[in-house]
Amino acid sequence: MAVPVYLDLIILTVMNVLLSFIAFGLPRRTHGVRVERGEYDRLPTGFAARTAIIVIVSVVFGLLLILGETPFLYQFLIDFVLVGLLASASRLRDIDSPRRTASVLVVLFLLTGVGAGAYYGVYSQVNNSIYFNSLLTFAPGSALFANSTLPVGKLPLVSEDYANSIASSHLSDFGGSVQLVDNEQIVHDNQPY
Amino acid sequence: MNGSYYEAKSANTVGPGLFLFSEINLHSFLGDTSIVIGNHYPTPPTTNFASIYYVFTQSQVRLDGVTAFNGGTIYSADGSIVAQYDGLNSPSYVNQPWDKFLVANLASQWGSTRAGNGTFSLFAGGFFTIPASQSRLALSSDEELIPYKNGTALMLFMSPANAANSLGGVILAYKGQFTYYNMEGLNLVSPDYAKATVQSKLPALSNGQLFAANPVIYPTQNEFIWIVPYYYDSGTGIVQFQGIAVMDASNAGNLVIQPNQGSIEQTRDLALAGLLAGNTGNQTQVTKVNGAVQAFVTYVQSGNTYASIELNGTYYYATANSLPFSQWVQALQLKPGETVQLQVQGTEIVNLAIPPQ
Repeated sequence: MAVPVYLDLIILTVMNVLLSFIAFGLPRRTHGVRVERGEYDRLPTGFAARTAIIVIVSVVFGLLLILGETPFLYQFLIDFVLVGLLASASRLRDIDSPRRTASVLVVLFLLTGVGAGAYYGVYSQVNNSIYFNSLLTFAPGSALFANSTLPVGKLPLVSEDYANSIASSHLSDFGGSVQLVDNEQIVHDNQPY
Repeated sequence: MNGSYYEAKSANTVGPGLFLFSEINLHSFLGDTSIVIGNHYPTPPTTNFASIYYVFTQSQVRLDGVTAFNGGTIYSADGSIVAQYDGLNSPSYVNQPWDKFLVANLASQWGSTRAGNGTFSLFAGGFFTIPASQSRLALSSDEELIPYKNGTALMLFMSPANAANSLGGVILAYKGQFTYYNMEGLNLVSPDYAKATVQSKLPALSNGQLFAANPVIYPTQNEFIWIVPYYYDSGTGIVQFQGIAVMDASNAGNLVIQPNQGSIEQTRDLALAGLLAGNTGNQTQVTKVNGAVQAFVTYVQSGNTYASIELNGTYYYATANSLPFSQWVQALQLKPGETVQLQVQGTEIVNLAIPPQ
């Protein structure tokens, strides 16, 4: 499933708005007006203003994740946990709302984060191994090259450093302002290059 | 292969090292943010290097956490997409349909979590009461890309965990096929060991250094050998080819170091000739010859004794190096009229047996 960049941002933003509603409840007029024991709600109370801030922050955060080339599934998880935690934590500061609900939400989002991190960060290597094992076929070592004649003349004997060195000594053909950015060994027309 | 080079001036608008949206990784990622960035490399779609395409491989994280191969995109010089492929069904001129870093990554995880044949565990390395698995493998730092069948194969070398000097197996990735060759019984040394052995024989220089790189495994008639080129590095970005070392993969002491003889090919052939005593690669087959000795003569050339036997009208020779000691002594005592069974490579005798009368 291809997720183009605009769809990516839209999904993240919509999710963030919904998450903030779940955490805060729907915005109320009276919200954040009372100030007691030095605590107050820093978020603007109006529906439009709060949504606007969440949209802007979501897009900026999404763009940062995109510039970091994070796969969408991970973006989604990171954003879900982060926004959930932020929204629930700021609800803890809101003296109007029941603290227990907010605490439960914080714990839930924390657990989600830890769980997702453990599953995708650590346990995925087992799933990866099973996936790779399903792609593999097995053969005895003596069978290596048994069905393929590999002439000795086709063995690659040029190392990356050597290739870079040769290339750099001929860069003047391209004029100034050049830079060697990358090298890659390829096999072309049955010869290694 | 031999250090000759092609130049192709191709003003690619998408490629590595370019600014922001022209940078190939970000360029491809913006089109589909669900992908995991893979390897990318230039490739000429035709034999004459007239144009250069850029192949960008990608993979995708599945819901179960597996990073799976997911095709790739091929860009032409003007940045337009020539072709896109799914999975590993690439056009024929694409060398590596998979992301080679992902192959290495998967191989590494596959090796490190291997708790047995086909079973995998996070705790394959042992944990409290769980014993460490004997099947764990670790990836060697060297890889090899070779022409294989009608395409390209990537070879990854694996050693048993904590035994990096020996070769446990080879993973050969060829298009959509991944094969694991189990080398455990063959008693071969790992590429790292081959490299280090060659490195240890190279002299230290007062300026710059000689270093061994890129070991390549190659099967001869009876055994695997490592071919290890070595280079001079000036420390200022100048690297020059210095020579080739060839070693028996099952016997690291059997090593020939051949300094540069003008070209890489020539040096390689001389080194191989040195190791295999004149028989390079699979050009010569071992054949069996039986018959009665028609003529027998020994002579000395360049200080080596040769025993020459005429059998069925053809002359064969043996030296002290070509035969095991006891067979060599038998060979020296041959008389015309005796019946012998020979195994010969070209005209060189590699095995000699005298059947009981």
